[in-house]
Amino acid sequence: MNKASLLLAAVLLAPAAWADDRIERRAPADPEGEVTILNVSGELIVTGWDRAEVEVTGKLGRGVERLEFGSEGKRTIIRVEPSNRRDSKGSADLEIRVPAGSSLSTNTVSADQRIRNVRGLQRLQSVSGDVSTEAWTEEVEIRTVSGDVELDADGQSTLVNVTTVSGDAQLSNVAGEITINTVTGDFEVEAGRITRGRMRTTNGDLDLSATLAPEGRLDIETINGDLVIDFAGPVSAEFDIETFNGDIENCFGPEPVRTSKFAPGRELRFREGDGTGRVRIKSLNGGISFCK
Amino acid sequence: MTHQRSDDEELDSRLAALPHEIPPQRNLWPDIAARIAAVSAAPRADREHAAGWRSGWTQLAAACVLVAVTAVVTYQLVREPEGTAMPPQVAALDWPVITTLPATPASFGSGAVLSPEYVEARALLARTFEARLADLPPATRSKIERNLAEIRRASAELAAALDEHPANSLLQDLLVSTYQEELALFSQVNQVTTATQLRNDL
Repeated sequence: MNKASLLLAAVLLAPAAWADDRIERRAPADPEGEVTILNVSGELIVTGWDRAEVEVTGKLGRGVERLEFGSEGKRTIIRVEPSNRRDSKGSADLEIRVPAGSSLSTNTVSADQRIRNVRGLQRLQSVSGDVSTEAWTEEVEIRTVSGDVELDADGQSTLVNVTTVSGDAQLSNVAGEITINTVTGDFEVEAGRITRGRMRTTNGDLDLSATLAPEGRLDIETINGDLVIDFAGPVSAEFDIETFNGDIENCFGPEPVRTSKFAPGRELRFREGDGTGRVRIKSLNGGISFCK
Repeated sequence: MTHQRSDDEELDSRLAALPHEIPPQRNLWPDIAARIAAVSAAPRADREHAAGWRSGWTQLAAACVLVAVTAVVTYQLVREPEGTAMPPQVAALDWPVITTLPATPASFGSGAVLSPEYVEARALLARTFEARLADLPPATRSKIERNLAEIRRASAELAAALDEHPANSLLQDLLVSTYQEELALFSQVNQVTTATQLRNDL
């Protein structure tokens, strides 16, 4: 057992007797430390505050073996351990307050996550639980399988990376570098100034509203999903758009042309403004529509 | 030098005289459209049958996908500029046998080679994925299986089109991306489930 484990063991909450009991614990924490939270099911609410401590309140369900809560140096760990680790039924509703400058790492199975005012780097993962958070200037990475994602940013440039399998996502006021990837999830992205966007869907639809930075890059691929893009403000970019079997509808630039007399594909290549940026869109069957 | 320039000029002249486009002897698109339509219209029961993807057939499919993925990804990594292609080590591939979809041969042109390292890495990902999938709640597992089927259906559509247009770079790019999407799905499921269930190091 290493040092960290010993420290954790010292603050282990008692098992079993806590079933269906409320909990309330606090521990000092670095104002810019790392907080890691693992919960299987139930609910997880994390809020940043101006104190140099972490507070855990909430309720542990019957299937919970124990709650680990401890810290060492800059690292704080909160872990709900189900009684049967292969049977993920241990449910806990947790409300956790962390220093607002903390970096946050969460992982849940079906528990929904609601994160507010956490301004450090965020890495949030969920299997089927929904994730709702805010973005500031630090990187935010969200991964879900079927959980939906809601991200509300403050418009400052940052790194945002959202990946779902079937979960839908709604990203508001994001800016900077945006990476999204989904198989069948539908994405609505309302972005400010994008310097780099990489977006890929297999069958999910993408509705994007964004301002492309003067030297911005936007790469979008879809197989069967429909793309609707609305450029806000002036656009200066080389456009390179191609679809094998989809439609291209554009409010500016020339008309799309057939790629060959013997295939249904269409392509559209043109320069808008000074052409300092680059927009590249590829589709198999998905329709492509863009305006400004 | 003069002799070289003369050769070049003659070559340029002969190249310029070549037709810019060689039309196929018949219109190929109806066949492609029919294949895509057949894929899209696959009976629902067949699609649902795909959910049982841990069956022997599916394991076979996974093995075939493995080979195809490897070839395509490696192809992207090693393909030579036009005119300098090496003799093909694997010129044509058997398309993965997917239970819901008709097997379709696909060729990715010359320069495709298999990478044992890639085969090994993908096999490892797939094994872990199967194990993690089995631990997930049935509803989530079902969603993942449906999405995996969507990815494979997309791959099959692309393969059908690429079979008729082997030089189409758009189709090649999208096919590689779709294979990568499958790997990303494996990886994502492995990641999000591992951290919750197995993190004992904390």
